[in-house]
Amino acid sequence: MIRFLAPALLLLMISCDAQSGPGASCIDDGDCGGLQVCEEFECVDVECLVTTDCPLEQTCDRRSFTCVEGCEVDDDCRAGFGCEESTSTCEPLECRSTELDCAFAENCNPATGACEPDGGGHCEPCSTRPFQAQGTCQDSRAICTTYFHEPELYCFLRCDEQADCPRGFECLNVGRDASGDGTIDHLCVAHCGDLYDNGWL
Amino acid sequence: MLRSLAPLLLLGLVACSDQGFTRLDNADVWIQEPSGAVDVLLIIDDSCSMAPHQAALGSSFAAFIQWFVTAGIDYQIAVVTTDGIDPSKSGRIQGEIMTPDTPNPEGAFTRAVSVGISGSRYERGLEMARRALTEPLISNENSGFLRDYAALTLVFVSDEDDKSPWPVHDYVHAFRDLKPQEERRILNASALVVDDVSSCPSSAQSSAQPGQRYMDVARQAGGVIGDICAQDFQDIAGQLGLNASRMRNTYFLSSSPNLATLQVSIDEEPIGCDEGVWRYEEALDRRTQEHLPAIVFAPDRVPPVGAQIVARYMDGVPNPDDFCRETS
Repeated sequence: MIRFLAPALLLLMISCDAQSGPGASCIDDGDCGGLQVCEEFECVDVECLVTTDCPLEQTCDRRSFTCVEGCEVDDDCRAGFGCEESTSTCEPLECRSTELDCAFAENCNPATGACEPDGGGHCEPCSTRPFQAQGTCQDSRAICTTYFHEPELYCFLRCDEQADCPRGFECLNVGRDASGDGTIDHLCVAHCGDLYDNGWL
Repeated sequence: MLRSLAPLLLLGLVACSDQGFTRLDNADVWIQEPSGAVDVLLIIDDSCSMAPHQAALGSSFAAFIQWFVTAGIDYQIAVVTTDGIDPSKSGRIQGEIMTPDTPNPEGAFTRAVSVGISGSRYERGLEMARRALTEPLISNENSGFLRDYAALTLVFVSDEDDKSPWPVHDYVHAFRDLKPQEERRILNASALVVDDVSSCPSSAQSSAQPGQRYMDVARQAGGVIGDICAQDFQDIAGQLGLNASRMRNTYFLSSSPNLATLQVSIDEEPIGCDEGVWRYEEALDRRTQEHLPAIVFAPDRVPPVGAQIVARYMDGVPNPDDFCRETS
């Protein structure tokens, strides 16, 4: 009987205004501080209470209150990786869209889930030829011209909508008849010179 | 004799229940621990459509800074623009770095965010933030801004999308690499951008564009997303400031509660459910993107720095009718 009452006697000894901290008496976790739990009526330090207490690619084991390798949701992984729930491991994500996940002059291929080079001659340096709007551009959709006040000539490909342009290029009404066919051109434009200067192309 | 003592012992335990010692199924504990120091970099679009948005942000300083002052945070605030063409910009901090010692901080903030509208219309906010925080600028023109011991907050402000060269996740990597990887909360990024173009005034809709890339960074880096087309920035600026300061007003419960049993205390002081200090809510957890049971404190009643917040409750199915209902 005395053994039965021991925990209750201990509880009585706990002051209602006890201070929290390692080794402090407790009834539940609420009597302890942050990153502590109440075990055997005593506050003990733990490594984690929730997964966000752990580094990326680790989760909090709520039985041992330690960080263990693995993930529960995509947010537990590094950017560009998602949580494979069946194995609790972080795996590379497929591209979600050209704009979010691809590098300059790439397109997201939904069939493969990978970003692929556009293949067009965007920003290809060129020179003009008389009576030939595309100048020395290899692509027949391209026009050799200048844009963004850059002095050099580059090939810009025609577009009808933004989806026609790869990542980093903007389908814009350039406000002039660069092709000489009597229509105002929409071109996939970018700061080509700046992109070369920065090593992005 | 001993047997007769048992009820008394039990009574002793129950007597403590008014002080918050009731033994319920769950006792969730949190400590209000903002970072002691935070470096805040505002990346502001300086293209021609941004004048009204810069003015609205500039007049919202008090709402933005209130949480830093409340928490006594050692802050630094600096501004760069999204222009990557003009060599005098291109990741260079514009004006002075604001600190708690800056005279007339409201005026300084208004001046700092008024970066003008002559910048490139080819906005590269993510790249300019990366340039600002890495070599060579961080050891030269921008030296002194990034402190090893401080948390880092990025706030992107633009009415168009980002046109930086890298995939978004490469920028998130680059920003996280500035700080210890093991500390998830040390970096956060928020976006004050266009979400829905139709929410913008008709005069601004032709130039407005959803800030998908900025919003993606904010989602990945635990920040908030605000609508730049909102007429009044006070509420948004308050949310941005609260998030940037790392003060918290939302605490997620570890289990589903029987709302009739839910008790909340701050530093062992019970806070009644009818005092207007806190409420129960199924709030959005940005980590899981799920709505989960949570205690949410009113904006003007956020627990003070260092406070211990405890929620005790029995397991159950949350029924709004049970909230704040006297249990017999």
